[in-house]
Amino acid sequence: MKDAWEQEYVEYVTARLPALRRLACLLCGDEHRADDIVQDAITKLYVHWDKARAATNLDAYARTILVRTFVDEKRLAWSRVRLFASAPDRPNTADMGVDDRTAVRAALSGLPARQQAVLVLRFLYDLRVAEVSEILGCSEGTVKSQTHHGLATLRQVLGDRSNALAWTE
Amino acid sequence: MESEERYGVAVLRVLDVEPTTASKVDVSRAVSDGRRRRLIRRWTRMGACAAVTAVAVASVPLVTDALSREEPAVGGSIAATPPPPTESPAVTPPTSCTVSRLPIPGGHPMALVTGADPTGRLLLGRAYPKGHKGRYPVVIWDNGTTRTVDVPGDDQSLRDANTAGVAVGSGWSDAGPVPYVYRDGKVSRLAGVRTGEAIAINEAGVIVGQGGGTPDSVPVVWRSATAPATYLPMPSGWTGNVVAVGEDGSVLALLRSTGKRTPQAYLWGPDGKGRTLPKPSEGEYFRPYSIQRNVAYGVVSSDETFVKGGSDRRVTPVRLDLTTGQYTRLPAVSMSPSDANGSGWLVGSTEKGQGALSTGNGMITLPDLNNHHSSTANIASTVSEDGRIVAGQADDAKGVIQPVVWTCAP
Repeated sequence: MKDAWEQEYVEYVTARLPALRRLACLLCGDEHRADDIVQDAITKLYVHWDKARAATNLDAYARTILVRTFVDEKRLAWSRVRLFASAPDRPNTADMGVDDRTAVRAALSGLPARQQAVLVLRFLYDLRVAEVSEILGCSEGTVKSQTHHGLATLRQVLGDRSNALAWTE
Repeated sequence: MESEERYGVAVLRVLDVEPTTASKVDVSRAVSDGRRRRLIRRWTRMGACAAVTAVAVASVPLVTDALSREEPAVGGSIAATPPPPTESPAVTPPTSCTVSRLPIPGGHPMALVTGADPTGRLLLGRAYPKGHKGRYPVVIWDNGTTRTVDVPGDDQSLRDANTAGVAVGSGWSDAGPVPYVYRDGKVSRLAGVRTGEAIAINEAGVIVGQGGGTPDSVPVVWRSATAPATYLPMPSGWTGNVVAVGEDGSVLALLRSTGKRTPQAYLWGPDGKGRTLPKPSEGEYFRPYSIQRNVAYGVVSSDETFVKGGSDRRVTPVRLDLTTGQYTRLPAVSMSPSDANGSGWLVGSTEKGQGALSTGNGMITLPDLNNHHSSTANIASTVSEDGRIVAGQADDAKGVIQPVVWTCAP
């Protein structure tokens, strides 16, 4: 009985690993850190496997655990919403030849974790506000305000570079 | 909000690439670690914390009153009768400060400071109840007494207050941010914009902020707590955010225009007429924080760093004489500023996570509440006009953010 239960978990996680790892990479921007986040998230998934396998949407359940693991890891940084709105703490990307991806990643990683998660889920995963609010366990209004504050900071930090990106559609 | 979504998709999509390294995730280790955790859970009968239940989120119908449908008028003078310029008594910069924790009402574990009045007698903030879902009790600390204020919406905050105790801020509705004013114990919606935020208020009760949402917010002024919003006139196509309002009704803002690489500091005089502020030098731009008696205070930053998405670890505080357009540079300091008072004294935090105060004559680091283990451990957010009261947030021993006040002396 236990063997089948565990086998089911192993099969599910093994199949979903690439997708979970991709989400973790998009959230944190670092493949090694992404591995740590996924490792922690799938361990939590094991602990809650009874509940998870009974969930109507197992993928959404696993994704929620992963995103919350990422946010919890950087929990304390989230108060930077306002204070660092004009000068986020982030790696220095002022080197010559820095590309758009590096600049956007640097700007994104300067945001509080919850804002990062909101932007990635809404604009890279195309999730609706209601879905994001369920994943993060917050209200829809908070998702909207976090989107607004996050984009405002990106725009401030990226300046012309992001305008150029937005206009090359 | 459509343009906001387009912008988000356009910018974020450059990150959409597949991982390039092999995964080091170990499923068998997750199984063995998971088994151990399950056992511990069973023994300690701890409650599940990561369980997710599908919660049907009821959508709240959008409430718009008649006023909010009106389009704000443009222009007009800001201060009807600007007060005569008064010289404040010269203040001596503080040299040492002590830290103390502010009480959190309601027994909530966490809170922080979001604003203050010019004297530091009134401190504004918000508490984070356990298990909160983005709605916070807004807190006002008034010289030893503490009260909570119910600001409607989510992600609420009060950002500024005058010494009469009138405070301004915003809360989030389904449609976006909603500007609010708190006075005589009551919270009311500021009129004349469908969405917007109130950022600052002066002693005469003139409130400034912005209407609309990212990326198209535009500066507005409410000439009183009951007056409808008026757009501040500016070049067509420009957008931006208000920074501060002076006692004479002058308004400082940081604007963006499609033709410019970096933000542009902008000023409206009490007569409501706007003008761009001069650049500090070729390759630099001015980031203003406060205005007093025809002087704007802030820091200069490099255009290049801004365009490339970098940040300045070291900032050069400046004062800009608004009559002559001359900048005076003060010694550079290694801090990330949050705000400044009318003397241009900056508060913020150091890269190491210590609170910092710069009075133009170098910087003093503020004592930790407990530690500075992270770069956000201690953050000074506001400083009183006399520099004696600095308030902000600091981690306690458990890493939980606490509201704090630093009391400083010469």
